[in-house]
Parts: sequence; structure tokens; C-alpha cells
Amino acid sequence: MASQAKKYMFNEINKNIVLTLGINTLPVEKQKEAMERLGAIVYQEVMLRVLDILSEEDKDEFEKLIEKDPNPETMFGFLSDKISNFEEIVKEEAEKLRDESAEIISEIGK
Amino acid sequence: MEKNTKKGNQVEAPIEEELIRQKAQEIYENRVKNNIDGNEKDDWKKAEKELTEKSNKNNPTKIRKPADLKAIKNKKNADKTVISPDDKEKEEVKTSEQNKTINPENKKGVFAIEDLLKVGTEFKSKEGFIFVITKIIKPANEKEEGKVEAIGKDQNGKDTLFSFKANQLKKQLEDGYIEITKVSDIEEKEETEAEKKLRVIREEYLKEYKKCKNEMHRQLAIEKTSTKVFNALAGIKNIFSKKKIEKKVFKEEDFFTEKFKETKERYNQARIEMGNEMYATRKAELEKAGLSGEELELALTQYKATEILAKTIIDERQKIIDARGPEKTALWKKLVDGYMAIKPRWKRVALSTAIFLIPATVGVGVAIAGGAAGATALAGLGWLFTTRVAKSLAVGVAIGHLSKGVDWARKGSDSRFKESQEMKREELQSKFAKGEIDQIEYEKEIEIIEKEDKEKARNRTLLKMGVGIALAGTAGYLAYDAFGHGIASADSGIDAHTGADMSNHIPNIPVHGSVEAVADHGQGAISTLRELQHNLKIEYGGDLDNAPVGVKHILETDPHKLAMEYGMYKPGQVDESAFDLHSIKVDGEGHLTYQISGNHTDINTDNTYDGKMFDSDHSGVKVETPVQETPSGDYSTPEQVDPITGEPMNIDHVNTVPEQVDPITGNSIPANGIPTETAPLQGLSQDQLTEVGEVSKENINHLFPGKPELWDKISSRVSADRLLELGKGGVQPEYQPLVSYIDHLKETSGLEPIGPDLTHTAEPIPDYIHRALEKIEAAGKINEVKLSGGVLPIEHAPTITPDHITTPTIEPDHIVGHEATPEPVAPTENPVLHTEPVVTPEHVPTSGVSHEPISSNATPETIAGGEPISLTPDQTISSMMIINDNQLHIFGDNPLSSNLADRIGGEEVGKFIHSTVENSHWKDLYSGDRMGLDSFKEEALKNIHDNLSSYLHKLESVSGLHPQVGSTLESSETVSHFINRTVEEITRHGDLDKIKIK
Repeated sequence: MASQAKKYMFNEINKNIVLTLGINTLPVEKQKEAMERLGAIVYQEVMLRVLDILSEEDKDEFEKLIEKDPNPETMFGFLSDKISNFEEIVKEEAEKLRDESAEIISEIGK
Repeated sequence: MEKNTKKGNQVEAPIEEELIRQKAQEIYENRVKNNIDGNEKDDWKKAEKELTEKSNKNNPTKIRKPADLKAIKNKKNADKTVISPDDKEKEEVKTSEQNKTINPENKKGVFAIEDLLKVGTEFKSKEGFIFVITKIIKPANEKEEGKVEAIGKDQNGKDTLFSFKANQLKKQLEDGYIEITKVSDIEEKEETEAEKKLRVIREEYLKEYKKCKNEMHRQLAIEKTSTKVFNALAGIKNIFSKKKIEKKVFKEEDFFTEKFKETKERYNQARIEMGNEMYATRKAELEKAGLSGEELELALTQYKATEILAKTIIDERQKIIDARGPEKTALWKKLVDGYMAIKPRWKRVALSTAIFLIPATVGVGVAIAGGAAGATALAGLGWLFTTRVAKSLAVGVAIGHLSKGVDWARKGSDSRFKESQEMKREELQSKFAKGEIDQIEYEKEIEIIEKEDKEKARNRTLLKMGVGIALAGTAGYLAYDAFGHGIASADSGIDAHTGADMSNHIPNIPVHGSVEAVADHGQGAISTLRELQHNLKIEYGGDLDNAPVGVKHILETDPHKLAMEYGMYKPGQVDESAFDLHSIKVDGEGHLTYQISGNHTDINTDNTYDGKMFDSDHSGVKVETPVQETPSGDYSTPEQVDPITGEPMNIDHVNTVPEQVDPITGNSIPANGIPTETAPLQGLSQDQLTEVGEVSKENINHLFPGKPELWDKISSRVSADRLLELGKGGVQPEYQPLVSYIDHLKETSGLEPIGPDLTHTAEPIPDYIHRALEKIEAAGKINEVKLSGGVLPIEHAPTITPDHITTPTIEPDHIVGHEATPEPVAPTENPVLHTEPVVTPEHVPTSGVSHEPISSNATPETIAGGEPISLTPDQTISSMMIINDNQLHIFGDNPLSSNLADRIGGEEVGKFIHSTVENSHWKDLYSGDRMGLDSFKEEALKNIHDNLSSYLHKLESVSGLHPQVGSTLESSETVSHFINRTVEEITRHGDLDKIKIK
């Protein structure tokens, strides 16, 4: 995919969700807080699904790994190796939250 | 032994229990006093067990009489006891100044723990740790337990969020193992109807969800077993193919029942209703406060984006996640805690944003391709960091982070510049959002703004430690951009929480601070004033509309004249120059003050300079002003009449030199004083001087097409002779044409740039150009040095052939770039338009010095303030991260680290490397109460010093670059500049890993 197209797609997603939620109207620090919390929700949803998928052996290995090196790069690297559709899971959970947020927030204060 | 007595719900504790408690207390106290050892711990456990059994037997109800228990436990320090009953049926909590207490002496009281377990309540564990309740999590259904979250210190003294089972906590409170030390004053709000409805439906929703999930797990288990059996059988039947059945992928959505979907719909509807209730309440409040129209709308939008989003989306989602009991394992806790502990915070925010905004339709391969910031392990998320959006977010976040903990002192004008830039961005974003400009145009414009940011940041942070922050500053202002090109963002001025109008705090017109030029290299008043002009240009940019009159005057006046005006240059006297000038400063209102060396008091120039003057040229004679004085009295010139118009002429124009034009700006200069530090060429006519001015201006425009900032940057910082010297070793490509031009002027005019001596600074480039052009004009050779439309386009060699050289004084060798271009392009009438000035080192031989092309491998010497080959966005982010991470490692989390770093950042790197904590310079560096650095312990300082020294050595060895040593004209390189320069170089070579402090 051409980088311009990638950018455009990313922009469109940002544009829609951020405009819908009104995050663009907030001061930068508040924007960060909002994104931090929303991202944390997606992260937890992803991890819940991941824990459903991983075998017990993989879970043990994962636990040891994050004890040793709790960096997100390590976590995501491991999960990408172990779960072939890990990225899809992330995308799906992100999309679910975006859709749900947009659906509910857009109905408020109409 | 006392017997149990009942009073209402009160239950008196049996004496055995009291004794056990006393025993337990003794063990506990002894344990605390003597540290824990195994035997005592066992005793404690034993006593605890007995106590629990007794308690369960004698106290089946939830309502206890903790007052008595507390009284027993806290006999020795009854004044610290915390629960205070009275004679009422239900205990009433009394309020002292800070704590609500229950009087231990009054044993009649009854206390319901539930009443005190609320957000804000503080309790103390048996180990003496204090916790404050932050959240009460009610059970989602009957089977589940309620929970209490409380923040407290962990064993390392770090604030940590703990989770307690509500019942266990209550029991321990009742039993006196832990005690409440402060009861929250926060009144818990009554649950609204909408909230109540939401809670009920949420429970239903969760119930249905779990049913579906259980079914999924059941099917999954069946599938796993089936697969195992099948594969085993398949293995036996066909040992060669080993064909196995594919793993079936289960999605929870596949197991959602109609009832679940219907419940979910109701659940969402309940969330909307609650949100609408909040919205309506807020709207009424804001209207009551007087808000209306757009202000009201914006305040409500912000309220939606904060409070309502949090309550209806984030908190609800969190409750659902929290309620999914079966998945919650120790691993789960580590995952969540680990995520929340990602440091620095900007990294967590960047990651969160990337996760939340990740597009659903970008392929994995594409996604992985980016891998910026060393985050390739982030799988598909990596590419997000390669976009402008992610870049600006990440860096913007970095700014936010650093501004809190390690704010490397971005001050004053930076923030105002930022505001101005943000306004530009907002305007662009608004246009893009409205479809007035397309994406390509938008990005193009944004790039221009980024360049301005970068320029500003670079100029303003040379003396700052956080050069990484300078990069951050570049894109940090683009934090809004992080959320997508074209999305209008605005700081509305209305506080989302209070609804207060904050617009007064957001000035539309940038307010400017003081701007200063320091004569720190022994330069004179004129050079210092020129530097001041340069600094003012940076501060005010092109916006002089709102600049104070004083600033306009300074910017629009020749520095020589200014020096005369302020009494710093008196050309009619033997001691014509200010001797001990330290600095000149202009405040935000345009008032100019100066400081004399050794005197730290600002002196207002209303009274002009009254410091010591000296004979700067050692001539022992007056330096005659080139401007003829207007005769007065009997010798005054009669009124003059313009021969053409017949109108009386201004007396100022009579008997004075003709109007002169600034050779660089082309602006007219009042003719009553253009003294220069070098003798001006006399005898040029007005037309000739005008032509000199025009040629000079056009040549500069031609040398820096569309980039006047490059000229501004170098013209006041580097002298002409220094430029030629630098040219021998190779300069930045964009400055090479200037080197060639100066060299050519030297050849043509026969004038050498004047170098520095003990009392004079070297001749600035504009002054030299002016002087040389005058000489060339006087010699009738001005056409030989015209770059645009003339005969010698310096950097457009392809359009020039030797035939265009009209005089034999110009050898083909002097035509810069001629040799580098094997096939000269036919000349055109307007060579300027013919080619783009794409100048590379190979294309620009150093005329007059060497005709060898500059090796592309050679590290070009950076002209002061010059910008090396730009890093890619990825590289920029990576280098920024490394710089910031390393700085955090070195300086730690001390809130005063920024002060310290700021101070060290301005140090000369050479001196710093060779200093030690013990030597005086180092001590001086850290001294000073106003910096608050005395709070650093000596050991900490030593560590910082040692680590930073090692780091700088490392940068030197990995980059191969050495600290630049200063000269009469230029100061030595600072620590911050050195870090910036070396890390950029290291980034170009892909060696960042080598300098990362583990």
C-alpha cells in the first residue's frame, strides 16, 4: 500500500473517531489522558483474548518473560510469535471500542 | 470474664477473644520491634488462627463493636484511636480537624464498617502502612465479591494500587488488625435513577455474557479434545502424511445468543441514557453560569469528551473487564500492572494511542514495515510510529512528560512561539476539515510550519541540555496533529470542568519576552547590536505588526546608527567605542537596557551609554564620521530648491552624501550617519551606491532562494574571514555558494576580509560584501559579480558557459561548479529560473581554494547554527528517545534535575569532561541557592557527573566527533550541542544501540 494511502487511511480513522468523541477540542494534556485510558482498555481486551488462546505452557513462558523484561516491545513480540493473528486481534478490539464509543457518544446530547 | 451483651446490633467481644487479641498484639509489637523471625511469625499465625475461629464462632453478624476492640488494641495510645461512638442507636462519626474518630473510652458505641469504607477513607495495615481507598467496586452479581481498591506504599516505598476483597477488609477492620485512621469527608453521591438502571442492566449483561463465554469455553474444550483424538488417529492411519486437522478458530461473537444481543442493546441504551442525564445536568449548570452559543456548545463537547466518555465508555468497559473473573490470573495482574507501569509515561500514551487508533484494514506486512523507534517488536503497531501523526504524538507526549518531571527549561518565548505556531496549525486543520484544502496541500503547509519549529527550536536550545527536547519541540507542537491531519483542535478557553471562561489566558497576540545579545567574545557595541537584531528577528519572526515601537526601531535601524544613538559609538572622538559593554537587552515592551561588565544592574538607555570608551583602532585620532555635518549659523547653507520640482529641499539632504541603501536589505538608510568600522569607500554616486545595494540584495536572494533564514543565520554569526577559512574544509552544501561568492568578491575586489585583533572583532559578512562591492563598483566591474541575470550565477553553473564571462579577470576556474558539470547547459536569458539550486558537495568545488570535490564521506563542518543533513522522521524520533532516555538515566527523577541539566547543558563540553566533582569549577556549577541544587546530595552529584562524563566520552568515541573548540569569534561547543550533534551523527550511522544506557 502506498504510504500516502496508508496515511490517508490512518487519518480518516483518526478523523472520524476523534471528531466524534470530541477529543480534538480538548487541551493536549487531556487528549493524552483520554487516549491513554482508551488504549489501556483495548490493551486489556486484547490480553483477555490472548490468555484464552495461549496454551498453559505458553502462558508460563509469557509470565517468565514479562517478569524478566516487562517492556511492551517484548510482550508484543512474544505474542506476535505465538499467535498468528495477534495483530488482527488488536485491530478487532480497537475497532470494537471505537465503534462502541462512537455509537454511544454520538447519541448523547443530540 | 465478661459476657456478651447486646445493644441493638452491638455485640460485646468475649474476654477470651480480648486475651487472644492482646496476645496477638504483643506478638505483633514484638515482631515489629525486633524484626520478624520465624518463630514469632508462627506464633502470630497461631494466635491469628485462634482469633479467627473465636471470632467466627462468637460473631456471626457483620456488625461488630470495633470500639472495644480498638480500645484493647490501642490501650497504649488511646489518643490515636480512631473510632468515636456516641449514645445514639447508630454511631455518629465525629469530626475533628482532620480525622473522624471514635472514642475508645466509650464502649457503648456501635460502628458499621460499611459506613466508613468509602472513597477517601484512610486505613493503616498491621505493618503500619497507610492506604487510602480510591475505589469501591460493588459486586456485579450475587456470586461475586465486592472489592476495594486503595493506594498505598509498597515495600519499596512506591505508591501502588492495591486491591482488597471487601469482606476480608471489613473483617480485618472489625477484628482490629487494621485500623481506620481517617474517614473520608467525601459525601458519596446518591445513585441516580439512570445509574441504578445501568447497574442493574450491566449485571444482566454480564450474566448473559458469561453464559455465552462459558459455552464458548465448553465448545473449545470439546474441540481441543476432538482435535487431539483425531490427530492421534490420523497419525496412526497415515504415518507418512501426518496430516492433521486445522485448528478451529473460536470467536466469542459466534457464541453470542439473541438474548445476549438484546441485553447488550439495552445495556448500551442505558449508557446513553446515563450520558444524556449527565449532559443535561451539565448543560443546566453551564447555562446557569451564563454560557451560551458556541461557548456553551464547546464546553459541552469537552464535557462529553472527558467526563461522559470516561463514565459511559471507559469506566463501563473497565467494569466489564474487572468482572470477568475466570480470566484473572496472576499473569493477568502482571500484564495489567506491567502496562500501567510503562515508563516514561509518554511511551505508554504513545502506545495507547497507537493501539486505539490502529486501522483495522492495514495488512500485517505493511504494518510491520515501519518499525520506527526501535519498536519493530510491536508487530503491526510499529508502522504507526512512522507517520507524521505518530511522530507528532510521540514527541508531543514526550514534551508533556518532560515538562513535568524533567522539564529541560523551555522558557519564555518558546511557549509564545508555540502558541503562534499552533494557531497556524489550527487554521490549516480547520481548512482541511472543511475541505478547503486537500491533504497534499495540507501536509505541504504543515511541513513548512515544522521547518519553522525546527529552526526555532534549534536556535533556542543551543544552550540547553535537552537537545532531544529541541527535536521534541519541533514536532511537539504538533500534538494536535497526532489525532489526524485536518482535525481542527482548539483550546477553547472554556474549562471543561468548571465551565469557566479561560479565554483571557490564551492571548491571541503573542507576547514577547526579553531578548538579549551578550558581548561574550569581546565584540563591540555594533556587533552586539547586530546580534541583538538577529535575536529579535528570531523572536518576532516576520510579525512586526504587533511589535513594540522600540523593537521596530532597532530592527529597522542600521546597527552603526543605533550604536551612535545609544552613545556606544562616537566616531568623532578619539575614544570612540564602548569599552566594557557586557550585554544589550530589549524587554517585551521594546525598552532597551545594557549592562556593563562587572555591573549586573541594567541601565536604561534613555540616558545613553555612559560607560568607559576607548580608542578601538589605536589611531590616537578621531574617527571622522563619513557624514558631513550640517553647517549652521552664519555658515549654514541657504534653503535649497529642488531643480525639478521647485519645492524646498529638506535641509538634511543638503550637503550630505546621497541617500544610501543598505546593501543587504535594500532599505534606504538615513544619510546622516553610516559610519562603519572599516573605512567606507568615498566617491560613489548615489546611483552607484544604489546599484551596490541592489546587487548585494539580489545576490543574497540568489544564493539563498526561498531560504532567507539561512542568510539570517550565518550573516550575524560568522565573520567573512572565518567563512572562507571554514570553506577550506567544506561547509554545509547550502552555504557553499556563499563561500564561493565571498571568495569571488575577494578575487575581484582585491580586498581581504578583515580578521580579528585584540580590540576588534572580525568583519561581518554583510560588511565585507558591502565594502567589496563598493570597491568593485568603483572599478566598474559590478557586472562581474552579479549572480542573478548577470554573468556569474554562482550556484547555477550548468546554465553558464565561460562565454558569459565578459571580462578576463574572471577565470573559468572561478566559476563555481563549472568543473563539476561535464555537460554545460546552454545559457538562457534567465538562468535563475532555469535550474533549481540543488547543490551538493560534489557540485560545488571550493572556488579559489581547491577544485577537489568535497567527499560525500567527509563529515561536513557545521557552520554555527548550521543544520546537518536532516534525519528522517524515524531517525529523529529514535534519536530523541535515546537522548531523553539517557538523560533520565543520568539525572534521575529528582524534580530539580531540569535545573541541573539546564545548567550543565550550557557548559563547555571540553571543560566539563575534564572536570571533577571536587574541582572548583564543578562545585561552582552546582552551587547557587536560586537553582535549588543544594538539595542534591554530594554522592548523587558525583554519580551524575561521572555518568554524564562517561556518556559524553561514549558519544565522542562512537560518533568519531570531537568537541568543537572555540575561537575568538565563536564560543566552544556546549554539552547540549555536543550531545545533539553526536547523537545525530550516530543516528545517521545506525549506531544508536551503542549509546543507549542500559
